[in-house]
Amino acid sequence: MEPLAYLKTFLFHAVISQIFFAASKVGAQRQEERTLTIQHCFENEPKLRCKKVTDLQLTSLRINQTQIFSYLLTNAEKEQIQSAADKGELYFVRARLEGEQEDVYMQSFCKATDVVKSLFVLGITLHVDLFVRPYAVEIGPVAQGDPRLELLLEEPSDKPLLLMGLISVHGSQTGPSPDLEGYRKKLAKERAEKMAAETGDNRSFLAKYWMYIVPVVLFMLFSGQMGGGGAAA
Amino acid sequence: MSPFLRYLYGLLCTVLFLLSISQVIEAIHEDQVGLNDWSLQFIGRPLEVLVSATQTGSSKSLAFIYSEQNVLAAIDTKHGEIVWRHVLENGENGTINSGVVLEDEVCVLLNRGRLLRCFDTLTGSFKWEKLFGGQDTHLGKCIAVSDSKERKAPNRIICANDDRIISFASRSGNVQWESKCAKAQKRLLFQSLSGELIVGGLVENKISVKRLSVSTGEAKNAGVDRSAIVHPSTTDCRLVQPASQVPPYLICFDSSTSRLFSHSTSEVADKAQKDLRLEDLGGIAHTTGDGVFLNSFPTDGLFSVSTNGESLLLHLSADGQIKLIKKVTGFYAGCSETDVVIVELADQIASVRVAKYDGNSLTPQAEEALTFPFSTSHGSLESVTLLPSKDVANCIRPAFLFLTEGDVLGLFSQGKLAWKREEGLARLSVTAIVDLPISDIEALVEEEFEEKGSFPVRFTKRLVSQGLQLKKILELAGKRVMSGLRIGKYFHKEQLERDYFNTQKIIVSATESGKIFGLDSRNGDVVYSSLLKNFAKPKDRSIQFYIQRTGAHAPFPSQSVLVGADKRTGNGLLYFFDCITGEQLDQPVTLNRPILQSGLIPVMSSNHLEAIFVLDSDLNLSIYPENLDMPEITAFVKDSLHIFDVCSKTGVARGYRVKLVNKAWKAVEVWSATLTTAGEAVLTVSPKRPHDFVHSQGRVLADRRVLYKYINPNLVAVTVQGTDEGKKPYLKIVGLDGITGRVVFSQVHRRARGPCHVVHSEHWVMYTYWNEKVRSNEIGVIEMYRGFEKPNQTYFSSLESFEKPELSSVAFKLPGFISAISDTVTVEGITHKNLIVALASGSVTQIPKVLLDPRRPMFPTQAEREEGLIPYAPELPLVTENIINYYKKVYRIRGIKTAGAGLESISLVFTYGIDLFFTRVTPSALFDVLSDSFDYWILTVVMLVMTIASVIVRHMANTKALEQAWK
Repeated sequence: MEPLAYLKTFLFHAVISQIFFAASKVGAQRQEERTLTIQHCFENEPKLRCKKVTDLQLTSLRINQTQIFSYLLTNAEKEQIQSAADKGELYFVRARLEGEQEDVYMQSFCKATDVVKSLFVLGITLHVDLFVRPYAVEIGPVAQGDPRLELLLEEPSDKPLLLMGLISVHGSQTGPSPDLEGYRKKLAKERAEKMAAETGDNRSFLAKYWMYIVPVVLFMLFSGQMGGGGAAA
Repeated sequence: MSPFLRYLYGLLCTVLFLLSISQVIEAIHEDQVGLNDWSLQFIGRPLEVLVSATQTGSSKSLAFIYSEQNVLAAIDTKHGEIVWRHVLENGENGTINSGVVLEDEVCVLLNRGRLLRCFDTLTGSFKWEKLFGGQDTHLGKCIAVSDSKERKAPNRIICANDDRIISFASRSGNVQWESKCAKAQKRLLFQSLSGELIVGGLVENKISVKRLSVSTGEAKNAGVDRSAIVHPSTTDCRLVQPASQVPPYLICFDSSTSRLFSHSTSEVADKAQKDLRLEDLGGIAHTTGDGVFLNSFPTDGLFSVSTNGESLLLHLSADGQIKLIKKVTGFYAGCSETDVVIVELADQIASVRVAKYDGNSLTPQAEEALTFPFSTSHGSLESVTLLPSKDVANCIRPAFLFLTEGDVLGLFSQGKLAWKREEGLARLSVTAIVDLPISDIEALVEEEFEEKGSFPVRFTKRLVSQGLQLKKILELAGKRVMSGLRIGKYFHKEQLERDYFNTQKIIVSATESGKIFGLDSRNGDVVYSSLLKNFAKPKDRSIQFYIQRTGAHAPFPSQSVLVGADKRTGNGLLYFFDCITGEQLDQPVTLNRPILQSGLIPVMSSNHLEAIFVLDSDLNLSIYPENLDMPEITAFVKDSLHIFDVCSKTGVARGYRVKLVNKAWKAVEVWSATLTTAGEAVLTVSPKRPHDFVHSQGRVLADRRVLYKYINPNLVAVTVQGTDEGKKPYLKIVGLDGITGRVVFSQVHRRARGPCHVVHSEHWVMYTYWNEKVRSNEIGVIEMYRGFEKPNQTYFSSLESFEKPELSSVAFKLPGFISAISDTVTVEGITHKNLIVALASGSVTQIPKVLLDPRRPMFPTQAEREEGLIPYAPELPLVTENIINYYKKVYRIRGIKTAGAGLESISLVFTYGIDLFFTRVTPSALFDVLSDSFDYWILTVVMLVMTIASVIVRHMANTKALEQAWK
């Protein structure tokens, strides 16, 4: 084999191995088995009292997809929610990543009345970053016509002691960058149009400027005749 | 022509001729330069003052100063003006470790002690530079020496860093010799009286001393290593020679332990090694970390230690014993081999005395001391540098430059204070542009028209008010005549009063070290300055400044509060003062814990005062002033007050609401978000201005539909920088609702990093970043819209609004490095907005907001053209006509403050960094007032001509009518 061919093969293998290595690293990071615990809390001065509602595996999170969960409320919990709704108090949802410090968590709130009004269906939005790591949680009412409600296994009702949740995952958008390519194309298009305008007219000189030439010729003809007539007279 | 008409004609011609001349004269002036703007140049906090003992060839006497802000400057010691200045590289590359001055060049050691750069002393022009090796060290040292005893002027520069010593020839920069030495964390370099080079090195718990030949660099001894408990980063040393025949001693002071060490430089066993506590010597109460200044004297064995404004004059005997000679509140400086200059401070007066040292005590040479005023705002004296003089009597009437704790650099000369410079203005960290109070007469006019009471009461009030107005006018006239006789200016405005268009303001600023300045916006003059005791910047947070009452509510004084930390404990400290006069209004409030967050409560009391809330680290909420017990404030705090805080260290954002628990306000956490993870850091947190005016609620499109803006006053933009698995940086911008913690938007720019500057207003966020991929600065714009449906509510409530806005975003390339960015503000927000951008090149430019519209189309349609959208171009043009500081360059701008004036068209702009610059801009041109270029002369002339012509025509008509009547 030629030395150049050896070099090529070597480079090819090196690049391929690097790609596989990087991919395995990304995979390892993405498939990191970490659990996200969702808790719900009731206003209890001055510290919140929280109770686990469900667990989520980070690997199961998919951007722009919705997961569902259900949690059987105890009578006391349901009464607490009802009581909080009557008093105009807040209802909290807390998400805690496994392995994080005690005071590091994501938390959101809504009015307890909203939970009662939406028949104990929680709309939870989980905001994740580039590496699908959650950084913020949101809780809000689920409107009656929300298409996510179709995912629920049971019809929402305030009768049973069932708290149902719809967890949607939102990712970050990719920020804009200056559209150099589009602008380059625009300039090229404009240049081409200009060129076309310059080169497209293949008419002869007379065909192009007859409207200027004809009046001048006519004027000269008539003025010559008038001069000649005068001289003859 | 009748004689009257001829006379009138002649008069008219003369007037016209004079007017035409005056117009010509006016046209000579450069258009509007300095009319509505000013700029001031500074050096920064001086680290060392260098004076040349043998300065020649210049009519000016120069002192060279290098500062913490990486600036090297030459100052004319006669007037205190900057002759030349070099703003060196930002960051560690430009940090000056040491400086020396030779006959005609001044050299500084830069770049972690690895680069020596020299400039011409007279012109400041660059002469030469040498880069030499060495590891990262911030503690290099250079000295200027002469290679022979006969030659007085130094002719070589010897520099030492962590592992080498190099000698350079002056003027050429040629390396004369180089010597390697054992690595040290801090390098010491001195020349002894015998001409030897004494090289010291500090490493943890060890001091090494070596003697070298100046001319060859050869070692004269093997070097001595001695153990001592020293911390290199906090230890400073001086060379003190007890007597001419005795080897010199190294006197070191470790400010972390407050201990003084003496070490002999001789190689014999150092029996006289001393280790003393500063308190044992003279009882100076030194708190750890405070600046300590060691000063050696030409007098045998004398040296001084200064800290906290007090100085100890100490004597080192030949056997290594240290004894206290005298303690003074001030500073000592060695003038000659026998004389010591003592500058003592007491009762805002500095007394200068020269005393002779006879080996045991100091004897003052004159009975009466020379004095000069020394304001409390200067703080304590930190250093005194005597200026060399050929005069033999120099020590009797010494001239010296002094530097104070409050960053005042001054010159005492000819028995008086010649000048002083407020270098603290180069370190401003927070500013506000505050309205001036209305004049006394205007206040009386306002009172006159107050519609309170019955008709007779109002009538009497009006009569009394008019009487008082007349009295005030007469008083003012009297004052003006008196001041005119005194200073020659009859219309000199002594009092700070609001002008007709409210364009004159007072700029209130504060530094991180707790110095407050009030600047007159007309010319940048310092109206007042004060140094707050024990005030410092809180850890991981910035100083906050709130205006609780403006000057518009006479007779109540304007009130503002500065929120910082106690220097000693780190707990919160509040300082209340009148921002028009600078007077302290109340005793400073010291809290028991560090401050987490603070803010203004937008409820005005009956005396027009707005209270502030302060949340401490234990989530206790306090309201100040404490005596302001109003039910409206209580109701606001209970129902409407929501607080958010982003910890820059942990990257955790938290939101709180306030509850009354056991009769005390307590903040309760309601939401939380973890904005950063490992490898990420919060760069900026940008809420909106508290009173952000909105131009309009929507944008009218070409098809007559209205696109409604998403105007959320509680939106906070947070930028986070991190690196991905491939070590490539990325920048994340997150828009959070400060009340509910909901994420409104989130965008990521890959291969982008800070520095990041954010402007957040109305319905848009703009942020600048560095794009690593294309290696250029870019500016991103996010605009938020609600859609085409008209919102039902006239207000915005974060608790009721669950909608997500429609985002429209774009990015542009920006040809320049940005130091700071802000947007213009006007009194009602009707005028279009411009971006004010301070560039690293020293220019301050304005960019119209319309150029940063994300809706700019690549191929505009007819409708888009009708709407006024500019076709898209990826690069923003920096037009030279838009540079608002024209040739007056301002460097290292850290912030831009904008404020509205009385006129809607005018926005006031104040930029602060090493330099200050103030101007006014008109983003939509000066539409509500006649422009400065309006030709008043032509108008006057036309009026005059018309009047005269009407008189002439009338006269002629009368004559004609009379003649006709006779016919």
